[in-house]
Amino acid sequence: MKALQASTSYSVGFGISSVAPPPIPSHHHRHLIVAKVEPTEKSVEVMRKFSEQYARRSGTYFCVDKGVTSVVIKGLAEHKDTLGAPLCPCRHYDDKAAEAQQGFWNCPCVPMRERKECHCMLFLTADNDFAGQDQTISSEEIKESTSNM
Amino acid sequence: MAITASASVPRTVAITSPSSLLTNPKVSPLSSLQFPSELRVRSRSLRFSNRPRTLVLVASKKQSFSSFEELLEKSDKPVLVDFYATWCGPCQFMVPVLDQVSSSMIDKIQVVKIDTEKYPAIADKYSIQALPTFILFKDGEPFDRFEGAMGADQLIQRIETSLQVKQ
Repeated sequence: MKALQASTSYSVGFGISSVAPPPIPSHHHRHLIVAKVEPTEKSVEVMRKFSEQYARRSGTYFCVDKGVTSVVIKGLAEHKDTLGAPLCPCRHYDDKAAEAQQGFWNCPCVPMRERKECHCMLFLTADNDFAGQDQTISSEEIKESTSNM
Repeated sequence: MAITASASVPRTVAITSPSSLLTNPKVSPLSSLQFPSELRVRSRSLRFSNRPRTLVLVASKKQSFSSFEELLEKSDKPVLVDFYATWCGPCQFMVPVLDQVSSSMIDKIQVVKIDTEKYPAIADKYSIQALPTFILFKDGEPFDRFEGAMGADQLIQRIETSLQVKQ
């Protein structure tokens, strides 16, 4: 990161990504090339189950908008795939690999474990304006609400 | 962290907001950072380009800038910048909210979205940590800053209050 800061802004920040360029996606998108990685189905399923269990265990609820829940679950799965641990997808990091090793922001993160604070809006306490009634989410729900991404 | 600087633009396409790209093909007042001008946000076909160093930001009204700083400098209105990431749930929640806010406040502010994974240097420059983080820039400088998802009314309130108080 030091090298980037030394330069003027015109080129460095844009041309360089801290994430490896994603693979060119599949034949489905004939006309639209979207450079975004999808997590594996296996990891999504693992994080979906984890989220349900942890919501129950912590007495928290999913967002009224299950799209939010779905995106976060996929983000956790994506990090699990690329980093080996479900690093919080709602943060910007200097060094994701180091953070995943360190663990503070691995889900369930320390703020959640200590204070039930989840700024991803994945686990919401009942008094939160965005909290719904559900502690479950199906894989169909996840697929449908992220199908436009 | 090891950064490999490559002379040519990597093969990623700067789709900064996939969902709004797919669902909002019409002209939007939002500006997304884009790579060279061959890329048209509103059409559905995008090509990779090997344009090296000069990075062109194409706002949706087709201005081009060589850097984020230039975009801020050249704006005649305050700029609300949304720092987000693809798989951040609250950030995606804000996509339609920002559409609404930027339409209803089109005369008052310009809305720009920055994918922090594609532009980590910009995110670092402004010490972005939690996502989404919103920074309201005035005269090229951060002026107000807040985090988290909220509804359109609340966001409009926050921006208007901020612009009124700090004249």
